[in-house]
Amino acid sequence: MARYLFRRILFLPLVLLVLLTASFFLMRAAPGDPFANERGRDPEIQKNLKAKYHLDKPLWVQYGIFLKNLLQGDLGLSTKYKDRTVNEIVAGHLPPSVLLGVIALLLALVVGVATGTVAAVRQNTVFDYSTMAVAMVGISAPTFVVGPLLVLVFAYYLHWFPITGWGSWHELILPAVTLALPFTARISRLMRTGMLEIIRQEFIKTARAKGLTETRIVLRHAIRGALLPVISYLGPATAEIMTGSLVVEKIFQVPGIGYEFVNSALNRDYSLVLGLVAVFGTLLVFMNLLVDIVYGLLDPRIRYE
Amino acid sequence: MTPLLDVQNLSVTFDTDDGVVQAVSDLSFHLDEGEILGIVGESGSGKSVSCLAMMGLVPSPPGRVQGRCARFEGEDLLTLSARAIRKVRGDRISMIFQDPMTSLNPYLRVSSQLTEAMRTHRQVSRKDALDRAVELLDLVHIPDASRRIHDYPHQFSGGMRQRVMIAMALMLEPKILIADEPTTALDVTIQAQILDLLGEIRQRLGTSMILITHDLGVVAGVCDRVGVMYAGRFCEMGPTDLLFSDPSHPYTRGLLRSVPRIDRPSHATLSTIQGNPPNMTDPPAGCAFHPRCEEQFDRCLVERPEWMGDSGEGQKRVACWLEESEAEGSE
Repeated sequence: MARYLFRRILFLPLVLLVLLTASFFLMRAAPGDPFANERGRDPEIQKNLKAKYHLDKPLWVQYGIFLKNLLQGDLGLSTKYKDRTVNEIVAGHLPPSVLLGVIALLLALVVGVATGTVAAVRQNTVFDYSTMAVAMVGISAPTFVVGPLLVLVFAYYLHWFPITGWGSWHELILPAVTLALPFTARISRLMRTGMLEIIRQEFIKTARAKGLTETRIVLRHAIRGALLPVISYLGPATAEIMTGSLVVEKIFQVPGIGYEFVNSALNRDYSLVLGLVAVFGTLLVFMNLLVDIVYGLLDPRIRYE
Repeated sequence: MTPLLDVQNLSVTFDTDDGVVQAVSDLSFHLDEGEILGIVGESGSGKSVSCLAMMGLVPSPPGRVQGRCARFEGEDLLTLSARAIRKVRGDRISMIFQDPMTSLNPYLRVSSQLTEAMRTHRQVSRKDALDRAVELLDLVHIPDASRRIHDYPHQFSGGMRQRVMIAMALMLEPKILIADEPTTALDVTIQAQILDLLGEIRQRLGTSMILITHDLGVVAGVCDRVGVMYAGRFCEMGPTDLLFSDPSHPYTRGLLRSVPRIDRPSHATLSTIQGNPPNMTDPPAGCAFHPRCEEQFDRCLVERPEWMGDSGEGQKRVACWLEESEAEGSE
């Protein structure tokens, strides 16, 4: 296990390098450049701007400069927000998104695992049917519908929460719930399926024959195996939360990074795009590593070689 | 002497989409102190279900359990509350199952699986329970028990896992051990070892056992008494040697004929019982075995045979009309 981990961590920089190299050249291969849209600008100014961002140099030199700066932890200057570095933008906008994402994911895990488990244990009861119906809605209903609806009910009519804003836990709840809903629904369904499969296993019969209570059987004997599909889903779920938070951040005016991510691509903000790819890529790669570790801890039959 | 376990008129039915399945009908049997009772029958004959029903382990719905009683140590297992019967399970009556590969939880260490029944039913410390578990692994001949106890099930071989299962079932010195096809999933040589072990345990601990199997060889080796089940009922029951030397019921005779024997030429065709077990949503009228019976006559088609023969100690009983006509003929 320790050796496996060491090797995985050794490979992380390589994975990120491939990711960033691909992103770098794809970005440059796309038509246009950061200053292409600014019509009527003096060719002299265009030239100076390009020189400032090294865009006048050959591509491989630009790549070299990018890598050198990256190694020093410098993600470069944004071409759109000319007075701000990418490091500043990430430092300012990443924390709200990460906070929102982590809370949404935890919420989805707790609620999804709990409802999925109870639905499986009480299969074919009213609880099971209603949970799965709600989960279906949760998966199908888009965030831009659910978000405003929640605002309408809980903020506008009931005044339980502020309509938008950012700063207190109070303002965190509606966006976190909105973001968590589709993930909760999917985790709940995965958990139910996993649990139904496990509680039909022979070793559950053995546990019953020992005279254990149903609660203990579920919590001790069944939940580990049933959690495995949920754990594997957490990798892709993290990626989805990162990209999916854009809509939620827009609706609730959260000063997060989702908005910047989309805009940077539209603006051809080369350095911001690459900087965010580097940040998101790192987060994702570590999340996947974490998923594999947890998987190995839950299922002792898995050997990492 | 009152028997340790006395089951009377136990019936189990299952509600399915195709109708009501009559898995066990009106089954009565007893188990004496220190005795090993074999229950043989084909799959679906109701042998496992009857024991599961007694233990309150038949899921309801779709299952329904009825019966006059299942007396055990002054209690009626059939009328105990879910909570009360849970206290009997794994403590005074414990069970082991067919496939040791799937009957142990792959996600938990053997140590915690061994100790949890004890920790549930008795107030003992983790340490004491663990000591007891090592002691039992020694008893079932698992080498290096104090170290192996911390392994996971997948680190044991099939035979070793069944030994672990047996150790687990014996943790609280149960009065009765119900072994449901304990050797079916094992190699023949390992089967013999496990059966020897069960015999040894009875010697040392005096545990009574119900051995459910479809393998007559298993029965012959270790059981004191055997009941042959067909279509949810016993068709013949008696001491093992008597039943093997002088089988009365056509079904028992058919079963014995279909066992390969070392004293017969190897090229001889093994005889089989014609036909298939009946569909239990619609069992045949009269004797359930009559459609497959070579010796059936008019009465078998309409009237179900009850127990015939002496019910006393060391006697054999059979549920077959042939027995009655023979008895009449000899008068």
